[in-house]
Amino acid sequence: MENLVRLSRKYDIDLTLVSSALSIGYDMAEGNREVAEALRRTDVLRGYVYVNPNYHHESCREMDTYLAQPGFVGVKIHPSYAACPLGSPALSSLIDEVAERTTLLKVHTYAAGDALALRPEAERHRSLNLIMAHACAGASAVAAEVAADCPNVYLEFCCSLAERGRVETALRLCGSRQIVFGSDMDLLDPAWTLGMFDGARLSEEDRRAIMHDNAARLLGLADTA
Amino acid sequence: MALLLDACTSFGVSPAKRADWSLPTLLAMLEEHGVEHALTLSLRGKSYDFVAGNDETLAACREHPMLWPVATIDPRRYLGCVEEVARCAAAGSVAFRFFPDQQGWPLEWLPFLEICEAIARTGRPIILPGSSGAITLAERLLAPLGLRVLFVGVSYGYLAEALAALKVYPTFYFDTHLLNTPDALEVVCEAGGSERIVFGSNAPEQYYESSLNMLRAAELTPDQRAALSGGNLRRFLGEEAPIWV
Repeated sequence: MENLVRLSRKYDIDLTLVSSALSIGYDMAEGNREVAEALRRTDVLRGYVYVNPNYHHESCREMDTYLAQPGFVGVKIHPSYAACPLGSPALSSLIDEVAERTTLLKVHTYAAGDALALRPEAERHRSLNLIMAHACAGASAVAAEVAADCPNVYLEFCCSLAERGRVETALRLCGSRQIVFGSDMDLLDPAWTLGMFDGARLSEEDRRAIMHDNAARLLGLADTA
Repeated sequence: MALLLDACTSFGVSPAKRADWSLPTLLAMLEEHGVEHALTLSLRGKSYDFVAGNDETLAACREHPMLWPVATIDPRRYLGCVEEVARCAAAGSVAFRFFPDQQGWPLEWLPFLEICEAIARTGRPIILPGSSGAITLAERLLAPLGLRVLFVGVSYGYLAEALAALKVYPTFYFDTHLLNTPDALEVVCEAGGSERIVFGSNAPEQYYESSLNMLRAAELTPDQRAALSGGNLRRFLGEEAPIWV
């Protein structure tokens, strides 16, 4: 947590949404407790409750426990680590439960198939805002096409693939209103992903939407719609 | 920012995805970011015909002296490969780069090792991908030849190999174009890499600002910054190389 706060200060990041690597890689409940503790110690973080489709009932319990607590703003799912792909009955069933409890779900996506499988979920749950973490990496054009069709789908670009043009393509296909900045701290340095947006030569309007307004709208922080 | 040399660029066509990786685009990116010189090669040599690609690289570098030519050879052709080493070295290629992952051949392949022996005789260094296992294999296979080796695209997943190699193999260098974890450059420097890490952008495939931001944000001493920005690359290329350098 200290490193997240240090990096946030270094790059002028006012608010960072976090989930627990411990939850994703090992123990969902222990990791969520870790996030809850971190949220009590700083006001520059907000939390995602991590859920695991292999533990459906326990995941519902985690959401019921933590979404009621201050600081938790949504839910995170990592289909790869759970070995439960998007489109599978178990994950789809859990997304139903998420949609009943929150309006914000962040999903790890790293291939075109992830975007295509997420489309029916977005269409079934119009009030659930879905952030595609990593914007499907090298297949971000496909992610942007899905976002263009689904106004409740958002793209977030952090990943090791800084392929030139992926931001501009998304801007052309779905517009800046459905793009949010994510850093992948502290696996990646924010400078890396900021560089993608620097390289995309954003207009002031697009930059403000991506770096602030869209996230603020999703979090209900201000009337920026 | 000190003088900036870029160890990893290319130009050509992207057949698998619509993208502008053309020579004019590369040149514009280098100029925009104040790059003094960049190692480069034509992607024709990687993906189609290395002899034609090397000719294209050499022609581009003659026309644009800010570019320094890197030759490439696909060992799968075998016939004529050793002769191509001699031809490119005589024409001024400053290094030889290989693409085993994309071309589908293993580093411990006799045709490749034969080419490396020929390169060693020219005094030129070689450039390899920093993918998993490559650094360890290269130590076993290439260190006996005394070759200087630059590994490009070492990411956090392979950083352990790089850090281990830094301790013991003074002829191994690493580029920065995928070093994107917090404090990555500082960590490599502290591990002994101050003299063997070189800036690379992977332009025009990659956003220039991603790798450049990492260099700018790194908390380095002036000497370390100067070394990463160019001094180390000059040492890597050696005194033999350049009619260009």
